[in-house]
Amino acid sequence: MDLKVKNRIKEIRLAKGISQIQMAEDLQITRQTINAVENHKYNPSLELALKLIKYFDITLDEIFTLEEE
Amino acid sequence: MKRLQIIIVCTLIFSMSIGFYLGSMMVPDLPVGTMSAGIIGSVVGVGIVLGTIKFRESRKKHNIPDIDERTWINIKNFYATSLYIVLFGSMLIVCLLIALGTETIELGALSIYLLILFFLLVIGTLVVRRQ
Repeated sequence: MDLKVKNRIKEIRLAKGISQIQMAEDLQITRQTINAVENHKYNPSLELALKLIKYFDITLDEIFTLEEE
Repeated sequence: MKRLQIIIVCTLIFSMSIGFYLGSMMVPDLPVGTMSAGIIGSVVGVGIVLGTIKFRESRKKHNIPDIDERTWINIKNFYATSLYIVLFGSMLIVCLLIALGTETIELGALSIYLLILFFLLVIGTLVVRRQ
C-alpha cells in the first residue's frame, strides 16, 4: 500500500489572501519550494511543517493528510 | 559573523604563504611570475564573484532567500549522483584507454579533464539551485 502526504496549503493560502511572495518572505523559503509543496512534489521538513501550522494558525491535520495513492 | 570572515581570510592568506614557501623550497627554480599571476588571478576571480553577489543582493527588491532546505536537498542529490557518474565515467575512460593500448596519460590532459569536470559540476550546481 503506497501512502502519499497531501496538503491543503494552496487552498488555505488563497483563502487567507496571502501571495506566494509574501509567504516566501515570511517563512524565509523560496517560491519554488512553495510551488513544489503545493503541487505535492515535495514534502516539507518537520521544521517547515511546524512553521506552516504556526503561520496559518491551524492544526497539523488540517493541512496535511496521509492518502492512499 | 564578521569575526569568522576575518579568521577565514587570515587562514587563507596564511595557508597560501606556507604553500608558497614550501613550493619555493621544493622547487628551486619556481616561476615566481607565473605563481603570482595565478594567485592574483584567483583572488581577483573570487573578488568578482563576491562583488557580483553583493551587487545582486543590493538590487533585490524582496526578502526571499535564494537557498532553502529543498535547494540543499537538491544540491546534495546532485552531488551524490555526479559522484557516481564521475567515478564510473572515469573508470570507463581508463578501461577504454587501456583497451586502445594507451599506457601513459599526460598531466596536461588530466588537468583539462579535471577542469571540465569542475566546470560541469559548477554549471550543474547553478542549474540545480534554480530549480
